[in-house]
Amino acid sequence: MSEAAAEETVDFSFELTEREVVFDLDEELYPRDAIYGAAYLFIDRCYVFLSRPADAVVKVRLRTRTPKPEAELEALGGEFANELLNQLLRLRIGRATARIRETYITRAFFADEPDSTIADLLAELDAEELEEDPLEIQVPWETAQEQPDEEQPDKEQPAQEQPAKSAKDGSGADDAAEEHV
Amino acid sequence: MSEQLRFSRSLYEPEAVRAAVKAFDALAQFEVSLTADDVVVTISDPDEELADVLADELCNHALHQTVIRARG
Repeated sequence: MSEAAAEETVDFSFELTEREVVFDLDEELYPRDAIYGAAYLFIDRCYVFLSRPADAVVKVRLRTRTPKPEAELEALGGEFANELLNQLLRLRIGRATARIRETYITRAFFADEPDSTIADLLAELDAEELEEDPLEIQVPWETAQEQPDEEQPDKEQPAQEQPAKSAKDGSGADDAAEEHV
Repeated sequence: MSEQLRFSRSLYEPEAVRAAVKAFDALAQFEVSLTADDVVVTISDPDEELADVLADELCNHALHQTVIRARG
């Protein structure tokens, strides 16, 4: 590693005590909203306190509710740092896509024909439903019952003839054999 | 015996700290004052059972109130 690169490296260093992990954050790197976001998520896990030791520096103190081994405190600090990055990324994505979201919301609320979209969709759905019913399954029951009375016996006939046909086929013979037994 | 907490005004909203103090009002005597940089909360006569955690819980609640207000 070159000297210049080594000088640019910034360590995430923290102080540990029996119940605390304390570290400073550069507010130019981590905006306050990102710090708030990460701190808020840790409120239910430990006691969080923020202070300002210098301009653009935020000191974060995470204090556990009970004494913890050093490894757990280090892990807590590391998790906070990870969450900080997560919050930072969310903020940047939020800012980068803010105009797109605003555009969509504006279009949704201030479109030229606000009611036409839903009305058109409903009409389109109705039209599709009527077209796609080749078996006329969706014919209302009352309409189906309005057919002339003479036609109904004809429709019932095949159902009555069915046993006779099955008798001819041989399946009826089986039935007759069963009756003999 | 009293304990003093200093909340930086650049990080904690005074109204948020006051709301937190109000929430804990029954558990101790609180005195809130403002300086140019800080909101200073003095805690005295805390509930004996909660004396160890009262200040920390107050800090958490003040942060909670601040974040809620910051997010609108």
